Amino acid sequence: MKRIRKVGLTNFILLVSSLILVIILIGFSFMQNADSADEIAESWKVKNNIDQISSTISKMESFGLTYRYTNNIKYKEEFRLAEKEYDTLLKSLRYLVRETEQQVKRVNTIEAKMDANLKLLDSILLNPTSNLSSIENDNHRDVHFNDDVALILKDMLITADVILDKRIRKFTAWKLIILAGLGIATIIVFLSLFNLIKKIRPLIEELLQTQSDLERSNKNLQHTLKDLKISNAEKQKEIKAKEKAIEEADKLNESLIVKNQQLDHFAYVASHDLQEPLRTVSNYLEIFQEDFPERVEGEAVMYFNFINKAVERMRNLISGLLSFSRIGTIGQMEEVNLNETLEKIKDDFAVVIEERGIVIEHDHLPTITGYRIEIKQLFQNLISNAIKFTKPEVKPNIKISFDETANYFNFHIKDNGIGIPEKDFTKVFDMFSRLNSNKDYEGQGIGLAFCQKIVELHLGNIWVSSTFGVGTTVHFTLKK
Amino acid sequence: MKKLKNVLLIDDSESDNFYHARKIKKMGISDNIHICYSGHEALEYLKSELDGKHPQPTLIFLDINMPGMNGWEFLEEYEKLTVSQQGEVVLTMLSNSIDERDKSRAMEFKSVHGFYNKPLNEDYLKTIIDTYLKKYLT
Repeated sequence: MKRIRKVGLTNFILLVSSLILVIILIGFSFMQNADSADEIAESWKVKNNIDQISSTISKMESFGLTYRYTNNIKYKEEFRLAEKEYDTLLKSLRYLVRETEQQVKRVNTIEAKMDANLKLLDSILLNPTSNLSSIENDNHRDVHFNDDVALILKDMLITADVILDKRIRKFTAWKLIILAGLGIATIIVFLSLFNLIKKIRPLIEELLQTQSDLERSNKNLQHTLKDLKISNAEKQKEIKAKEKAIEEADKLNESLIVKNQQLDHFAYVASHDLQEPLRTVSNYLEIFQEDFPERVEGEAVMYFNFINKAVERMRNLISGLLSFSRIGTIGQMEEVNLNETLEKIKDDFAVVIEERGIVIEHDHLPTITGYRIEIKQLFQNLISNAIKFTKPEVKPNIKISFDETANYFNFHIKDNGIGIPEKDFTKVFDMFSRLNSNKDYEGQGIGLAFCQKIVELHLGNIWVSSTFGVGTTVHFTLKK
Repeated sequence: MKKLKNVLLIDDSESDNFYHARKIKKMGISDNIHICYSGHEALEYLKSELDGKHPQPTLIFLDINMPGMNGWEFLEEYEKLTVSQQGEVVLTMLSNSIDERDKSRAMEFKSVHGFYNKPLNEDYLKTIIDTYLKKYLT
């Protein structure tokens, strides 16, 4: 747009100014030309006047002579008329040649000579009876005067012709200038137009190109629009399908939640109800051994030991399963000050802490919203693990650190225990999974499974990092 | 050493009752142990006891899960009896439940003096005796 304006503006200014200049020139020339034409006309008038004067003088002469010889009054009057005409003509000639000094002088000479001449003629005319000889003489003088005047008139005519010639040349010159000006104007106009076209052409071509490009891209756009409409319809279908899938997923989720609850309930009922017969078995094993000590001897002692151990282990497994199924099923989320929780746990562990010289350090912990009992169990299990999986000759050192992100509280419980091989980092969270023999480290393999369930109940994550033989850090997050 | 006049076991499990009764007897706490198999039966027993038909139990062990009237329902009714209000009877829960919430629910009842898990062992019994019943036994 800027370019177009620039090109157009300079061209336009150039064109208009050239045209104005040429028109002024033409106008000036035209005026000069018109003046010349006037001058030519004047010259012609001068010439005409001179001729008329010449003929009038001739008339006067002839009428004068005729009157002298005939004395006919008619010729006298004719003479007077001619005289008057001469006066008028001379006056006008004087006016016409006023600008040419030479001619003016000549007119004066003519006038003087004619005045003398006319005086003589007048006297003759007033005195018609004077002698003829004198008339002859007079006639001579008359002719002489006339010849003189004729000569002067001739000179005037020549001068007038010269002036006329000059004026005609001037006129022609101005005419040529006008024609040249017109030619130049035409050339300028054509050049400007050519220039303009030359400059505008690429712009026009560009515009045409842009237009065709636009048309093409428009076509493309329409094409794309069509495609979009089609894909939109497909998307709509997809969205509907997805919505349906989501609905189904929601249904599945719901049924999964119900199933999970049923599973928890089943685990609860099963473990609760299994406890009673198992307890009966263990109770009556005890009674049997008390009541019939004589029967429990030799190999029977070993058998009874195996049975007792199995029963004990089963009882532990069942009670673990029972507690596991109970997590998060009763109670409400509430504000839990973790510092208080930790103090309680320390109290619970007071004896073992004293015995083994355990050091538990912790950052100032936040108050969170959660299930109070489960949260306590979580920390308790992790601390208990840290103590349990530290070699007896080593003083357990437990560090609990805390940081937070926008949505989560992050906890790290670090110990100086036996550590976990990397391949078992996820296995440790499986229910009933144990990495160590019962001989070295007692347990049912439910502690961390417990912790995982509690953390998941609080929409968090739990994982471990460890250097085998150096220590373990259990990391877990709880959603704010 | 003196013995308690009467101990009441409220539990639907015959084998548990036998085992618990045997423990109590073996520890020499009481020879007179009465067994009720439901909350309802126990209430009837306690009401009739008020009429002087038999000695008032000093110690009661109560199970939670029982057919008919369970432990909770029994406690509701029991606290309405004058015998509970005298503060003479030591009632402790003795159940399968390891649920913390059951324990705190039980401790909300004024008449409940303890919450123990089955089976009843000597440590529990000693604790109960030492805490509440010393005056009867020395």
